[in-house]
Amino acid sequence: MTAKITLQMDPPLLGFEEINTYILTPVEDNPYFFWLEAEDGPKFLLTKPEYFFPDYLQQVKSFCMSNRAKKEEHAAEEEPDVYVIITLADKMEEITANLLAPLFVYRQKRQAAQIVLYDSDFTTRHLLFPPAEHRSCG
Amino acid sequence: MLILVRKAGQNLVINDNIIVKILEVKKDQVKIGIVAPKEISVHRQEVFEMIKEANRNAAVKKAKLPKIQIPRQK
Repeated sequence: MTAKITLQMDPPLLGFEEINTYILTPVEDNPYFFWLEAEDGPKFLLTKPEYFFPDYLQQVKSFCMSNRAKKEEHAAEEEPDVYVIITLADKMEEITANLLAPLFVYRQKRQAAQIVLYDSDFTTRHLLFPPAEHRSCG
Repeated sequence: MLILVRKAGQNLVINDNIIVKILEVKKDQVKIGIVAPKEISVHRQEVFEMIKEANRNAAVKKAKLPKIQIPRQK
């Protein structure tokens, strides 16, 4: 879908405070995943939550609406694209997504930020392919 | 460490652009409001550490890359 985009991470990702510039690219030949990579820095696999966690986007939106300070600040701003960071594992069923702290991407401004969904039930480790789903698709 | 005693309804000013408001005190909980410029990030420490760790774990090691199979949905 969308091509490569250079993003300023503001504020920087926690744990990677010294890195500000990342390049977001779709994973070749796979529409569900994206690479977020810093030159000479870390590389992350991302996905869009709507592919794996159908109700999630709505919950993110209501979080943003209830956060009044944010709402005022961002009132005139573009709606962000929401991505989640994936932690790969050796076994596919152990791959997780960080739903507690999604990544908001403002394409027009070429900015991104990791937002923490305080007071939510989300964690940093949600299974991308939960066992039940595995069984049902044989 | 600077230690100050405040009551509910009282504030602190840090560096003339950050205001810490003590909103409510009940039993062992304190409700705090923070007014700060946008570029100042405020986190609960335990969550801050958790996300830091999660991000570090999520970083894909470059040396390993060729071996990683990107999962496809179904």
